[in-house]
Amino acid sequence: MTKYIVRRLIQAIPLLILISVILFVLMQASGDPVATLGGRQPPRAEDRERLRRAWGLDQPILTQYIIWLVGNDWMVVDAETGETGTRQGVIRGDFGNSFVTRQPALQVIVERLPNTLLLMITAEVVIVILSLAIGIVSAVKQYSLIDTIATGFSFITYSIPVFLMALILMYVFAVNFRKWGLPYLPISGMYEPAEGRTFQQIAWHMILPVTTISLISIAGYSRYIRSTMLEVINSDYIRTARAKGLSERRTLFVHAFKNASLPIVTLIGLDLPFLLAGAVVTETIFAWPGMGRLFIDHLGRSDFPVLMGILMMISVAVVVFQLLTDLVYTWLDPRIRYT
Amino acid sequence: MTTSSSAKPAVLNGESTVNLSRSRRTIYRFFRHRVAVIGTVIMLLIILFVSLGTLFYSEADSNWADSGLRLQAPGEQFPLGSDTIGRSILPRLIYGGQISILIGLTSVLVSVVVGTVVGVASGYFGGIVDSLLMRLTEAMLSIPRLLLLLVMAKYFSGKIPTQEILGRSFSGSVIVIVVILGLTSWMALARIMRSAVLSIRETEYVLAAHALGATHRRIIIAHVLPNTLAPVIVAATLGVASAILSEAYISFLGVGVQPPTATWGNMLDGSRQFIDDAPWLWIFPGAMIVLTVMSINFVGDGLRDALDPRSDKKV
Repeated sequence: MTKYIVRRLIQAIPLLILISVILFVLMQASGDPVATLGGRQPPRAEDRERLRRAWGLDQPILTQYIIWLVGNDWMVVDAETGETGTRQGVIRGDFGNSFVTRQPALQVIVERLPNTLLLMITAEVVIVILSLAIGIVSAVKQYSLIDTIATGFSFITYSIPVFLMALILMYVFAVNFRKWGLPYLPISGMYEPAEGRTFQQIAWHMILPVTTISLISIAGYSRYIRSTMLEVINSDYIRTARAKGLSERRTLFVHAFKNASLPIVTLIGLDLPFLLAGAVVTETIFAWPGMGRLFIDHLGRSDFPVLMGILMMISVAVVVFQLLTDLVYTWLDPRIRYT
Repeated sequence: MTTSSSAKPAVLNGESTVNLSRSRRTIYRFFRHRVAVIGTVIMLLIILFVSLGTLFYSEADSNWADSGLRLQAPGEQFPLGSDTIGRSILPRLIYGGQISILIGLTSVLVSVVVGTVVGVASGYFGGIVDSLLMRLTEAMLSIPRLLLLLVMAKYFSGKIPTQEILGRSFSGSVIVIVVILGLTSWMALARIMRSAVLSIRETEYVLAAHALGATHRRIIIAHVLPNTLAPVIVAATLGVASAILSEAYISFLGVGVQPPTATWGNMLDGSRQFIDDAPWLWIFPGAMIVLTVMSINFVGDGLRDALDPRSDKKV
């Protein structure tokens, strides 16, 4: 098993290098970070040249990539003084300094990460619980009223883009609830500055974004869980379990559900890291100070170190979750063995 | 399909379909699928709306702005209201719809071409070609698509000037969006094609074609591609819906199709600031996106069941 994990991790390295090359080439060509500096008082031409040199943007792209990857503290950057560089490179955890804030890119991202994780983990918990409930009930009571309503509901929500769902929810629960004199939900930020960063404030501000993300995913997940459960429920061993006189609850939750959970785990495991990317839209609309909004804000200023950092973090998460998903399989289904 | 039906006749609602030709049977099965029929009807209505609408409004109407009449509620002068700079929503909905649908169709064309080339090359030739192309596919699948689209939209934006095609001018960003949507959505198709080719490659008729001295190109075009048609049609149909959605996402975030060219996606850009006062800014384009995407998904589902020979029981 350990051997298998080690092998998988080693296989992931060339994949991640390929990903970083694709992203790096796109990034470098996507705009000149020096050109967007300074706002109304753009730096003088010679200052710009100096900045470009200081940030290593005057180097050929291959050199820039190598510096980004392994740093430049081992090579002489200034021939006259014989000075070496200060970058340590991504493999030693240095993503470079943000062009905008001049802080280490990793620090800029990590500051925002908890906010995104708070939103996404809460949403994922809601999604898993509700879609399991809806999916299992729909499967057990196939073609019942509940099943029909769930089917209709998921057909519609499945086609709604996240931003539209956000607008609809904002319009109903913030704009109209306010008009009708009902307690209305906040539509932006994490907390009221006057109230401070309290638990109630954050929870209150999380309701709309979490509902937005959840509603869309529940549609797809619950349909999937329904069809997997249906397949299992109609199999021979479930009939055997019933024939043995097991209670319906035990049949469903121990015998049926455990076998149905395999494809569900795949779905969740492979989707989870992409939730982080989906945060871009939700966080932008709800002005949530997370990683997604950081990405949009810094995209406009071509802040490569931060953008690369976010993209690489999510890509690593995708690869890691693929491995985790495969490992959970062996626990759920002992017939699967990796060597 | 024919072999299975000779053993066990395919029966639909008591009617035998054994005597129908393959394509007639597919069409028959498709129209038996209730959801698919609903989808087709909605889709036809949308096509009528964006095509016949041009009889009532010219493209100039869709871009004509009266800044004195901003954010007007739906009424006599503006049937569906006016937007943030005083353009009428209805004609923009018509012309924007044409662009949105055009982007959906053409970007899928790009992704089908790329996906087919990659999939066929890696399945047919195998070896080093296969492992290189599949690593690339895997890498592309591991990068979150929305973020990649945003980066690429920024990379290409402004590089292509406004184009005149068929007497209409398209913002260069339309072409950019088509290309980047195509270049980020071919991976699933490439995998479908690869596995189809892998199984077809081993069949006796391909062996026979080899023995007769057919070239690689002829075997691929005449023997391999026609047999992969069914999954490609389904994937391409669903791809149109996903492309229309993706365009809406990136236009909503402000890096997609640039004004004055309208799309349903960029009509939504900026509507959040006026959520209190002007719900018509997002309700109409939003509803069009949802209806279009839903109808295409319905049709795609119907096609999948109709084209899959094992789906007789499900119809």
